[in-house]
Amino acid sequence: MLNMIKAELYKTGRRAYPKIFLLVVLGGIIALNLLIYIAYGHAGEKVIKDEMLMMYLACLVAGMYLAIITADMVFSDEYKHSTLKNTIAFGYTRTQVYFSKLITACIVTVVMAVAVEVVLLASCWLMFPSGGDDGRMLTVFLQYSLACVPLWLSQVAVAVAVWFNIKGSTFATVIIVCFTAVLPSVLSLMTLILSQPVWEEMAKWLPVSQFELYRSLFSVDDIVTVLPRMCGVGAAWFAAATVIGWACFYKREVK
Amino acid sequence: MVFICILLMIFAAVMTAMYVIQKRHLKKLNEDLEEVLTKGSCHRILLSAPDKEMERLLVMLNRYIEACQNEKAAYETRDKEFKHQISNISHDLRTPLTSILGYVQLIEREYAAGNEDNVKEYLGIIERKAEMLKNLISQFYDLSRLEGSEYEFQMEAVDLNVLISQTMADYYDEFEKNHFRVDIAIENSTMPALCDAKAMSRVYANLIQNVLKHGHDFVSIHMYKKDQSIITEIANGSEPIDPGELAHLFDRFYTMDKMRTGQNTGLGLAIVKQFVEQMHGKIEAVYEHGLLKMRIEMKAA
Amino acid sequence: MAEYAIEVQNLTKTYGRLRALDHVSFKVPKGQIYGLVGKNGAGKTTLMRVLTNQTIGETGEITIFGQSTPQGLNKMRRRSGVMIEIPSFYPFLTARENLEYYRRQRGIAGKTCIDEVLEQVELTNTGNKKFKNFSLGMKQRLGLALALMNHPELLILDEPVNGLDPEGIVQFRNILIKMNREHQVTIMISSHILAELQNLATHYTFMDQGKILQDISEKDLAALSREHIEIEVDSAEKAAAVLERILGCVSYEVLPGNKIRVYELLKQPDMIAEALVQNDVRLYSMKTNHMNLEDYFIGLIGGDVNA
Repeated sequence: MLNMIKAELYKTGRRAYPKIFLLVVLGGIIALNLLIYIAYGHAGEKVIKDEMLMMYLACLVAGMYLAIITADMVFSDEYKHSTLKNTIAFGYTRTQVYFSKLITACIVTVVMAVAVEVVLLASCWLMFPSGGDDGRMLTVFLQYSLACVPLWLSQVAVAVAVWFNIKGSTFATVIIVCFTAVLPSVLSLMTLILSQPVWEEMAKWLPVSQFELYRSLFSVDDIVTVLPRMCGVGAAWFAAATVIGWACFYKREVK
Repeated sequence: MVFICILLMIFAAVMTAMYVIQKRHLKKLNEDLEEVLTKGSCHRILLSAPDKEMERLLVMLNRYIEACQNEKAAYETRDKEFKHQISNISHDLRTPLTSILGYVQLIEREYAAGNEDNVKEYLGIIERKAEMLKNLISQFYDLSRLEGSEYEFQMEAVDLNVLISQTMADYYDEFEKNHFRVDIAIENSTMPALCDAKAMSRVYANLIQNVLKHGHDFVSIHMYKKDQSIITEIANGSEPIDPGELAHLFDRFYTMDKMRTGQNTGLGLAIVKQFVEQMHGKIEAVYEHGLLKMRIEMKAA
Repeated sequence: MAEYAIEVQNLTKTYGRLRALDHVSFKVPKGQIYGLVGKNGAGKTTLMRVLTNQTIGETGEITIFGQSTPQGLNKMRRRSGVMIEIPSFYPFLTARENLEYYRRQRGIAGKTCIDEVLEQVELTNTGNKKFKNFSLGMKQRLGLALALMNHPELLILDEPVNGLDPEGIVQFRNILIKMNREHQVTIMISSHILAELQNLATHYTFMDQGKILQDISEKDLAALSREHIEIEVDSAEKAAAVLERILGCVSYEVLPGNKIRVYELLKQPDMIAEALVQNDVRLYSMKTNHMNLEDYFIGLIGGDVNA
């Protein structure tokens, strides 16, 4: 399996796509910071690090969508190119194929996430003045980010599970995006239509919904209380998606 | 404190993982090697996980295995070739001998019948065939000595001009008898080359004999100096020859007529090639403008 | 070591209502070049896909180099090289990068194998060309390169010369012959270009509609498809009688359309003609023929041949 992961990392590294993606995201972040700096600067106000960190916190949900892209970098349309057959014909089991892609996608996602956060924090620290108690806010932000990781990885697991089992890659991607973006709204709608609160409850347990939890808190220090739930939900979805995806792929025809 | 503990744990886990991978590598390597040795499979041994040193080891190992297998394959080919040769030799010897015995029986019958007219003719035929047989056997002997590198060459400066002229003179009568047109062009008056005089003589003699047997009515000899070598080109008129056939002219037992009619041992050119190459020269056959040219390149002395 | 590279017992695979493989059984001896002959849709590709684990058969058992458990089969698959249907590679990578990806994945030691194998298939100068810009011939060559990269003991090739130019086909054939002669590589190759197989295979298996029709070795096939004289007459019965009584000919076949194939007297067609004409049999045409693989195959899947 290590051989397979090494090969996948090589392939991902050879593409221009990941590099371009990273550059765009990092550039976007720096640009965003710059924009805020300039905008507020003109208005005569000073934004401090604490406020920026709070803003970043709210944006971390974007990671769910970026995770789909990083997973795609690794999975790279295997069905469209029919390349899985080369690996299977060589005597690797479907289990090995599935998990090697999953693990590589997780690695790539985490590496990208770390790179993004480093640039984010560095540019923030350079551009914005201190507000006094940055250390505390920084610790909170880092802890929160760490708890987001299982959620992002669960998204990767869902994406990989869908891509392995549904042939049309566009259709599959649509399903994944719908799962993330649309499903919560659909469930809320069903609660309204059917007047049954159970749907809303279900929506609360989706991975993307965990990014809303901090809103109901009074103080930033209380964030620690939601972290276990975030990790738990993330891990659970990761496990569930992986098991279902793997089980469906197990007996599949590979063309 | 907790942080340090976690770091240590991770470190321990990584070390253990590396150890386990190393062990598995070695185990798999042992299994694979055993299969290659006992069952002679030709597949390459694969890495079971990325590892630089292991990869280097496997590259060496696979190369070694390949060398062993190639040697084995080469040995088996040589063995088959050898057996093939033996059967060729016995076939070649059998035909003239059978023919000789046939004539002997013929003589006995004629003699018994009191008919002595044709006996003289038959005896002449027998003598010719016996000579041919002797020739064949001595050629086999030569070739085997050459191939076993047992022939001792006395390399010295020899004037090829003199050598080829002598050979042509020896065969002058034959050329006359067969109405050959002879064309000799030697550019310098002396052409000293580094070779063994007797061997080079044989080379020229064999090539001229070849010309006499196969050439139509024209032979040309062209000798010239080029860089540090002396080039002799012996050409005779001939039917078109396939480039593929040209390459095989110097093979053992190769004759242009597929039936070895007894006159041609098929060894002459093979001997020539061995001689030339062991004297550090080069020989090649080209076909151009309706002529088959034998080009011999020897180092100038 | 097992004497058979591949053994298939009673393999069946159904797609909906289509029986792609119908109780297929055969054995491929080690060191042979095995030709799988069949029309499109006969089941050749499906068979190969089962052998390479791309498809899972419903009934039956396969054995490769003596192993039939899933782990054993996978272990043996690492010793095989496969090319099924159109070669597939990552379009955004070059030839070298694609091969490097698979080299790492398979754990092949040393990067020299990539250059070696590219040289073998004559694909050394693609430089930075991405796979998506390759011609069909180049794709086939890269597919073959991948199959050869791990020095396999078994090659499973499905219509491998599709899309190659004539020179490429000859080169390809030479590579296969060399591997078989020098390294005793077992080769299983399917094609519907029978002429190609005829120069290559040592054994043939004929398939039609998911069933194996016949297994036959090259030697036996050559004996069966031997030279004959084919005559067209007005009455096959009269002609047959003449052949037997007058010419003492026993080796002949009667075909529909009043045609007879005679396997004797090949050098004396004049005798046959004379005998027939003298005995009041009208001779419409006479030619010397050599039945080839195609005729044999069509005979198998087509009508009956009265012998």
